[in-house]
Amino acid sequence: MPINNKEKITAVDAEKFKDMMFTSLHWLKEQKSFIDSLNVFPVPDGDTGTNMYLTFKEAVSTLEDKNSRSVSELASALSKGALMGARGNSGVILSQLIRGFAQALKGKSKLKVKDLASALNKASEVAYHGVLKPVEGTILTVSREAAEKALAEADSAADLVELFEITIKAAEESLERTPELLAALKEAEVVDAGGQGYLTILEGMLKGLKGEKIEYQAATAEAKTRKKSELAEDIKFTYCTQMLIEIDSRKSNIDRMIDKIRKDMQSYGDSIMVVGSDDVIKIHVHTNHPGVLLEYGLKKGKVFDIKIDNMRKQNQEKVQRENDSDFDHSQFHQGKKSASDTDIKEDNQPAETEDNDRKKAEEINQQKDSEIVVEKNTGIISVANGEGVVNILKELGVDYVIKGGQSMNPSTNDFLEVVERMNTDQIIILPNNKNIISAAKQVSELSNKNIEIIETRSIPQAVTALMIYDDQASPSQLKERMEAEIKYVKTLEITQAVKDSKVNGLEIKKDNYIGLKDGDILVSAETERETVINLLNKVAEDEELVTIYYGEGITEAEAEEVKNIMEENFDFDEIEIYPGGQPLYPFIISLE
Amino acid sequence: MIALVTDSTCDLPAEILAKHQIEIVPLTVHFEEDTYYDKVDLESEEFYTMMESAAELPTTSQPSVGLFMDRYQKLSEDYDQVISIHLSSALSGTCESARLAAAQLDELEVEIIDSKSTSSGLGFMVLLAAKMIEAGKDIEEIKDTILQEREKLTIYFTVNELTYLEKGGRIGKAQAFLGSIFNFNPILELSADTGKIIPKEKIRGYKKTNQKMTDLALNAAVDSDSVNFAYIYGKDSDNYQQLKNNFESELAAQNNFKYQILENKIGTVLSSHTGPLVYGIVIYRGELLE
Repeated sequence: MPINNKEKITAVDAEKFKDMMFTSLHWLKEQKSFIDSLNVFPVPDGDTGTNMYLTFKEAVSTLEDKNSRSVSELASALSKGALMGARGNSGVILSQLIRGFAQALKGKSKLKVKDLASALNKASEVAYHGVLKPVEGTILTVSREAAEKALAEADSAADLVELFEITIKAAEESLERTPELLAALKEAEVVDAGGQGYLTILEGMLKGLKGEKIEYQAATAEAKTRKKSELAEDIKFTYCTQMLIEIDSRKSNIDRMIDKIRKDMQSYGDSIMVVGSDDVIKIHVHTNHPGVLLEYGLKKGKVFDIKIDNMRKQNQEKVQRENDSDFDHSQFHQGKKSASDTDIKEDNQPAETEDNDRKKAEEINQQKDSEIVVEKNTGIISVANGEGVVNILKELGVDYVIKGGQSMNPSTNDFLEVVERMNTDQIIILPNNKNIISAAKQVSELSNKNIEIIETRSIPQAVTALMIYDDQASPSQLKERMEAEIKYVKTLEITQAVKDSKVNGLEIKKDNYIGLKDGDILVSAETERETVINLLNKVAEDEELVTIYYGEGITEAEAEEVKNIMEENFDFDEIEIYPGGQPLYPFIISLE
Repeated sequence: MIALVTDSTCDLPAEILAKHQIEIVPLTVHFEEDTYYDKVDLESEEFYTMMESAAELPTTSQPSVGLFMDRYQKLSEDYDQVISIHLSSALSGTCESARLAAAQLDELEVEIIDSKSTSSGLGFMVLLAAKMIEAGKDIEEIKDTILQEREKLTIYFTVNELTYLEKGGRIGKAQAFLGSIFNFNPILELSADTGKIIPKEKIRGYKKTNQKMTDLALNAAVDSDSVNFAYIYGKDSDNYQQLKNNFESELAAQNNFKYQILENKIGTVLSSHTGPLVYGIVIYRGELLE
């Protein structure tokens, strides 16, 4: 649909709104590597661009099958999708921004000039509220300053294009000022990555508004294939059945109803997920009898957004497609379709690696059934990468380890799935990384189980916390005790710089080793060994016990060597070595 | 006259047993085909060497009914009453053997008392009974006193490997802090409430473990005026010595209660179940008559 740029666009309907979102997603995808490169620290990081993209993708993919006539409905679908897909701190903030955006658009069938201004304002407001300690010089500042400008100019702007342009200019200027507000940005000579991500999303929406070319097949295709790692013969239940049920919340207690439905669903199939908010309950079940399920739903309330996929068939098609890709593509696909399918192929690669990783993590967990059987009063979920570390956590009582970590942040939905699969209502989550904590926290909003997030920022902290697990304690008691205990352990991490940079007054060269203590970069040297020694010289006090977890690519002999150096140079009582197998970090060391 | 009988797990040294004329009925240790009487046939050090080299862990047995009958019968020549105090019936069938033996001896009055403890915890109860006998108390009063005083016993101990306790079935599998890859020190409690061994804490680093044990022991004692402690240990180790030093310096620094400390080596039967490197502190929140 060609659009004359000179024509004024004063309102956007649902269809156009959808286009804007998909274009924005596509634009964010183009820009995500650039956004990743803005990471301040030279550590292999949580990748702001990637996290925002994955979060936004999850949000936008909810629009794929939605034939709604109202912007309001689309925005609220976006909001739910973002909440579920949120990963990384930036993703969590983005999900809050989208949530606010959707709240402001409630009841609007079209997006008008003034609606945009108020939605951007509400977005920023909700995001500030959602963050425990808002920091200026971040995506929050950019969202606020852009929104303020939009509000100021809403009356005088000729149309949506103009208001978007004004807003984007304000966002750019705000972004340029972020280094003045955050010292770390200034030192690294970059602007805030999250702010850049937000700007990119606004730019993408404007591109969509102006009718720039849209290629949105890729995103949803990718989102879909991610869920289907099973081979066709492993599929026990054929139909992935999803529906939303509108409940009369004046008549029913929604929490109790969710519990009831969840229990009832056990007899229908597996991969059960039942979540709800306000007056809508979402059911996701793999079953062989979708019809029976729909009847069940009708008894509970008004059923809508029904989606039934034949997973066996999809799987065959996927295998077929993979086989096809070995041959000449153009024979099978022509024209525009071919372009987007090539896109699918590219996109599938990372998605499938993710699938494989997930599968591997599940194998480690030896969980073949959908239910995760917890034999204690409280289920424990943690996050780690590396076989050795995973095994240690499991031995210390973790019931399910989600594969992830520094450069691979699990989403809220990843946590939610595990939470819902556990056969217990008391759960604690140990995220073991500062970028994963906030995504985990959102789980307690989406599930009505009794969940506490123990704010562990490293593997050693998790180990220390698990040491004092007490099966008689409630999740909130555990949180209090465990968080008090983890203060007594120091975590040292050795990793390789991914770029040249200046941090904390240190000149760091790409590929040199850097040493962090509790997340702060303190030393840098050419070898791992030197880095360990320098770091210990800085931080070791009168600790008695040292635990070394050596990572992927480090041999036991090399780890022993590090231990010997420690014995020669320091006065620790005990030094223990464990193969952790973690990527990116040759050594994780705890002092206590 | 009242005779006093206990079993070999009380860990009281030979001179104290002799001084108070305490009769010991030994439990037995089985190494493959061979059977040894606890504290009779086998020295601890020799036993540890055998344990380290043996293909299978040793097993243990309560004293047979016959062994108790022989002992009681012999005592009936000089005594008309017997107090027989033994290790926790939650850990061993020794009390049951004694009971069956006593039931077959009409001419002798035998009071069998479950100490709900073992090692020096049992030892303290035996010593208390010995002193009451010497003070001329009657058998009913002694029995009532022991039943009351046994509630004041607590044992905290640590082992360097839980496999011994687990394989011997003396600790619930579900509760056992099983850790084959990851190294930590368990602190276990033999509580007077249940007479069972329960896992108390998991600690990393031996100094922290010893500090925690010190804290637990002092905490258990704090409301009493007078406390008897006993160090118990299997094979001597630096870690054990560090615990003693640490505990003694903290004891010296407090003035909440009077105290005495014994030190007793654990016998072969108990160390079959704990492994050689066991050590701990027994707390008796009461007074032994002087």
